Amino acid sequence: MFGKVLIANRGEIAIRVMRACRELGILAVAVYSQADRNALHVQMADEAYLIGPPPATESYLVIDRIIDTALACGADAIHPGYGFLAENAGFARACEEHDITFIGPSSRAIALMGDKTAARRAMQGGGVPVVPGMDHFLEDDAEALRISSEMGYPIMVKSALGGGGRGMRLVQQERELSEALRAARSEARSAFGDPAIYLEKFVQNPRHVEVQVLADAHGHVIHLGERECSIQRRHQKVVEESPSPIMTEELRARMGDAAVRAAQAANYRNAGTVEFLLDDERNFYFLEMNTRLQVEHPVTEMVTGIDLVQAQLHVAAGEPLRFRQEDIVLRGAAIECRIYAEDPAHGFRPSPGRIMALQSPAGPWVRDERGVFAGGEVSPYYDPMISKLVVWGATRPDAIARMRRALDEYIISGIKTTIPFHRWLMDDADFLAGRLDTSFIERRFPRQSPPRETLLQDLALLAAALEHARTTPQPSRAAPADGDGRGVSPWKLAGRMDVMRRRG
Amino acid sequence: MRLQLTSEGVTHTIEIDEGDGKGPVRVTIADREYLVDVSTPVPGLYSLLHEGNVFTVYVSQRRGRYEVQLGSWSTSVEVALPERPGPARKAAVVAAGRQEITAPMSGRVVQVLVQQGASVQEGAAVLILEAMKMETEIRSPIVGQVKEVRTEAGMAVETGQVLLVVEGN
Repeated sequence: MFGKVLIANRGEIAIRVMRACRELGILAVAVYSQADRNALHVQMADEAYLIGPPPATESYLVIDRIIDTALACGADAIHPGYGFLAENAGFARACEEHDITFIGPSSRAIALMGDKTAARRAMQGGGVPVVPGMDHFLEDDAEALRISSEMGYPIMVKSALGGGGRGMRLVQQERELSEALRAARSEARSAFGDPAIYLEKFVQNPRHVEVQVLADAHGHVIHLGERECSIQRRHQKVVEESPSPIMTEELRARMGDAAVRAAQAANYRNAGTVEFLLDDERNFYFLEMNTRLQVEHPVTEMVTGIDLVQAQLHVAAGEPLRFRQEDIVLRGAAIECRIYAEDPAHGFRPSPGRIMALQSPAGPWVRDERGVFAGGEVSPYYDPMISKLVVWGATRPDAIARMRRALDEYIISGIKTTIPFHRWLMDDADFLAGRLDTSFIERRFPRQSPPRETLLQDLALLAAALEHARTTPQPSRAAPADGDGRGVSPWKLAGRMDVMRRRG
Repeated sequence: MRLQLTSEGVTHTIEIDEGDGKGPVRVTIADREYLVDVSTPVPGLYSLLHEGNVFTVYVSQRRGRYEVQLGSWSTSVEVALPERPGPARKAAVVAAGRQEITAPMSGRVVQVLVQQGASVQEGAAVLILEAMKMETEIRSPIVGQVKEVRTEAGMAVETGQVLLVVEGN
């Protein structure tokens, strides 16, 4: 096993990986940009090294600087987390060339699956159904125009290196095409360092169901069941669960088998995810393979009892898998809510800023993986996900009730978060019934929040008034009270509140 | 204590009478009256008991406003002393026809899509802002002419910062 692992990431995922390292007795090395000197992942690491200015393109995405840091500090291996360089074949190759273990698949497997069009060709060859679309990258806007009108709208513009909904745009009509191409290229360049894009036919209202696989360097590949990830905004997942509410043993076996074949076709090693679209008739189509850990990996961990990050470390160190397919049993139900620094009341727009108060939920079967802390700054430079809240229950309704309870305990003030959205979701009739598809949020989530109960509104006003009295500077504490008939002054009340606090 | 507070566009007058300072406070807002037991375990955290029901409220100050967090619900409150006209009232009087377009969030300007003097339609994209890896189009709220461009591509901007000024026709 490794002695020291560098984690080429930030935020909650860097911390998730550190925890696995600690449990295996491995030293964890953080890297950080100038914007992240105070970040939680730096505070929690054993060692931490500065790798550049705030923009990710000048720090977390600079391969040479990360390799140099790993060599200088004597790390045996690099864990890329997800996002940034996690699916960058050039980075994996650089690690291979410098004799640093990349905790992931070979650079060749990443290149195959990372080139979304090559992956589609490989899957078709293996008899796995794929969504209709291009088998090469887009040359220019004129080609996009031609192909789109041939395929027929709506179409989906996708980034060649893809992942996380970045560089993806839905185009309903021809006049939206050129802006969508521009935005997709621009986002793809800043998120993955490559503006290449391609087009796929858009499948209307599918479910997004993916299968977790685990493969070692000795040719063993198993699957760990599925995750339902249909609830998305801007083509990025917001809530995931395992098992999928519509899964049957028979369908799981077929999808699991297809996922294992996909991994074998790529000569895959590491944890990986094969994503499928599932239509009304339970036909599934290969979407893409993610050659890395997924944000939603904890729901699989909760129902299988397997620590996927530890499994990644074992496999990367050359050990054979510790489980066979028949050892894998899915028990109960797990749900993950991604807590984003976004305002759900205003179209999920970003809400960076300073976190004033923070209280994390706890209690039985509640897991809050957070990358931020009270008083800390949520930077506009990086991904808005600040925490993943995960719960387990014996049944899906139990898990939903537990999630409701955990969300009610979760306090983050100072910035807007998606907590109110999740709280709404846990009471939504369609969600409770498991009627999910990728247009769920557009279809169900009300644009206007319901009017607040007058009592709550009034108590909010009371608290604001008390805080105002407490924090507004007093011109003179010794001012005579009420003597001149002006009534009770707020300064005096503030003084009395102090007395009450001391008494309490 | 008597204060005028503005929340979600509505101004309320709140009266708080702490009595002898030993029991619950009496709160009056319009024709509604409450007896509330107030405790402050730590600064900014208010534990309120009303008819036996527990409410835990976090209050923080940001740009002269109070951000109030009550469970998963949050709201923003502005305070004005009764003697002075409130900033809320001032803000409500927008100079007719002249509109400042401000940054809805802090981030980086990707591209300014209009030049000074350009005519814009209502809802036309005037600027692209990037925050947290996501690009957002900022649109003109009115038909008019771009009077001022106060930013440029690559510039880091703060929430509320004026980016452009548009004057209505």
